[in-house]
Amino acid sequence: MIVVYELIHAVVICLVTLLYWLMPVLMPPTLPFGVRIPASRVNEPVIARLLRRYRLLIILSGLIGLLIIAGATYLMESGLTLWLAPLGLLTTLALAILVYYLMHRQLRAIKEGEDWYAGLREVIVVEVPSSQESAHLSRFWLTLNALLLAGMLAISMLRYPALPARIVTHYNASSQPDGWGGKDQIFLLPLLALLLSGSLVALALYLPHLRKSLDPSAPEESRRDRQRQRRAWSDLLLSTAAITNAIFLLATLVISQALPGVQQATLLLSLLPVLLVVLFILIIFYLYRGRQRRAYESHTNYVMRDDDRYWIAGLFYVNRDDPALLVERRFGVGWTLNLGHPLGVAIMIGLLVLVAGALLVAVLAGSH
Amino acid sequence: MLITIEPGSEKAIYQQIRDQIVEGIASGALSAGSNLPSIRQLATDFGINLHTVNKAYELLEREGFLQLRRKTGAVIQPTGRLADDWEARARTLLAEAYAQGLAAEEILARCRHLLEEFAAQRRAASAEKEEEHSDDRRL
Repeated sequence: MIVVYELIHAVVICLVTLLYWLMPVLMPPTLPFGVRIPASRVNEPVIARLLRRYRLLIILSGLIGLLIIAGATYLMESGLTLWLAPLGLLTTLALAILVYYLMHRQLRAIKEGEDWYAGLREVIVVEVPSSQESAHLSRFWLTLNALLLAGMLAISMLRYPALPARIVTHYNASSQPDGWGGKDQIFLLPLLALLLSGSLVALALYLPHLRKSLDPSAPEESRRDRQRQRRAWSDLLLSTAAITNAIFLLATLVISQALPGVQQATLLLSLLPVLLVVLFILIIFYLYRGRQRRAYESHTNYVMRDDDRYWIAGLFYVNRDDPALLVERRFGVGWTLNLGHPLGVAIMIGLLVLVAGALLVAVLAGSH
Repeated sequence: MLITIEPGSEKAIYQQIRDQIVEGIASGALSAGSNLPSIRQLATDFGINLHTVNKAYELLEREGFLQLRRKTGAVIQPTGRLADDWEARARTLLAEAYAQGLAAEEILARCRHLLEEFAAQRRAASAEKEEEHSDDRRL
């Protein structure tokens, strides 16, 4: 049954590869590979050339990850397989980011070498009074999330009296129980799910407060595009919450022994790849719907300011002057912290400590 | 209205913001009672230092264009009084033209032309607002 474990990783590798392959289409045309360029340069042949190279290398990165997983299934008997499958996924991710960075660096060097901003006036345009934009929360996704959370809570409460004092809280990669705990732990899942959904909804509510600058060559059009993009991202946040809640609901079903037998755990585990595929489809769908459809035509020499100087490798945003805590990522899904903001640095350190702690706990638990 | 700042320009950013808000009031794009974004929101939208926006707002308040209130934020509220140094600045501007040898009538005509432009913009702005109102009523 260990195959399920590898299958999940293989599926995720394919989805990640597909997402990275599509990414250039999903990002604004004036930000190819995270490099800010003026609209007059979007059709430079060098960008198309880099794009072809990028896509080839991304497919290669995916294949390398899959090869590692294929190797893992051959080594099924050894204890290595547990580590090899995530290693395959991590390799693909690391290679994809490296490929992106290489393209980013090349394009940036060309842009700066040829001085693409020569003769242009770099400005920032903002509308006052700010256009009143309220948060958009899709009723469909909100309801679905509420139902999933209620379902989780109901199952835990209904099953609680019948549960033994100690319950299985963890299954290993081959669906064998390997962790036990007090039965109160059954309520941890709905609690965690609630926390997670709550923070995703909070982020969706915060979206209208994020930066609202406009493109000087097409202020109206860029405002409409931004509104469409924020609506799509809000839907994306709530649908991500729904998928996570669905996964938590499955886990609740297994741990509360609502469906008795280890085979059930395996069956439910097989649903995981399906849910992950749905999640990726939703990500691509909403990014596609929210994307800027075309470069704005410019009739003046006013362009959006070249803000590359604040981006390290096109991945990390560091701007001490900017009071914004969250900024849109230039390549990829979602937002990134302003590492020039004291709070941004604090949150980043907190997250790193959290991840390191979780890894340490996992390693320690594994060695016992 | 749109505020356009140019970080590469010689003119300080706070001055660019201040000048455009004053022109916005003159042209009717901003009227008494209009709310400006909070300092933090405007600085976030521009991606510039809070102090820069603060400086622009404080200058506008000192000059009697803006009221900064803790609760409602920044509200456009022209006081009808000219800033103390207004005459000195007008003097410099007119001196520039006169020193170049322009006739007094010519300079006055230019001034009148600019004022008529503001008036026309203001009429257009209020007509636009009127239309919006009737749209609201129809809805």
